Amino acid sequence: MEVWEAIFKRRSIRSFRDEPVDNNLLIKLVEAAIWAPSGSNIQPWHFIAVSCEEQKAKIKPFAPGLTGMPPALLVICTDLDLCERKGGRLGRDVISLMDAAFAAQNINLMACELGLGTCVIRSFNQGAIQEILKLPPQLVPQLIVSVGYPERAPQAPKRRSVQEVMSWERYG
Amino acid sequence: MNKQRLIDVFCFIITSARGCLEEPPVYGPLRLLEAYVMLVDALGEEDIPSIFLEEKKHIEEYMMLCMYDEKAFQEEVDKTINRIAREIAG
Repeated sequence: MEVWEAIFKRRSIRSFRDEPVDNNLLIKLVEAAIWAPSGSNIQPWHFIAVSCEEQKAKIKPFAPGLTGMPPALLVICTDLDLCERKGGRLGRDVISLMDAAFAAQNINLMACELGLGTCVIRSFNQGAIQEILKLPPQLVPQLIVSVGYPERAPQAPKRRSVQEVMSWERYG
Repeated sequence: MNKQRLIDVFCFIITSARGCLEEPPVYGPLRLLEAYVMLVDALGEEDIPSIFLEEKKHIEEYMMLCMYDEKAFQEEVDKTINRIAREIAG
């Protein structure tokens, strides 16, 4: 699959077939994630794969953005102590979020190539997810990516045009 | 009634209350509709008048409209309210 095709084809999938995702595919998604750009090359991420029904059921009530029950979740966490130690305040407050987002997009595109659907979620309670996943205090869950085989893909939402969002040399 | 599902709704509502302080405003209506769907599921079909079961199906179909077409979402919620009100009015 060409990169452009994956970018164009990717949708946020919120409806999944009742079909498990093989662990090797989840590993492949994380392999893609760790090749995302990382500010100051801190690579502050840790990925927790969750596919056990019992654990997903514990997460769901504390993750309102998680629609339906996807077969698997990838929780992208970042180590804020590591970010601060190597990247200062910018590392802790900004790079930690950007790196999680870069990693999520690599997961999205790789999933598309593998025939999987994803949805990146930030509507969850970080404290509750930390408790459920037994994360140490410095490891903060930044994003949850739901993963599964799409049951249906939503229509592509309208995009603002290139002409509207791009300028040359200066604004306007 | 499914007690575990009801407990999930409690957690969902409290988590949503906190989330709505910072999330996009349209997520508030969405979370309320999601809680409605979860409550209907928790209570079980036999305990609920049919109109609320029918509206649950409608809501599940249209609730994600809020993410990309707020006007259509509002229209659908209005229709749901009108149908329920009509039913209650008799």
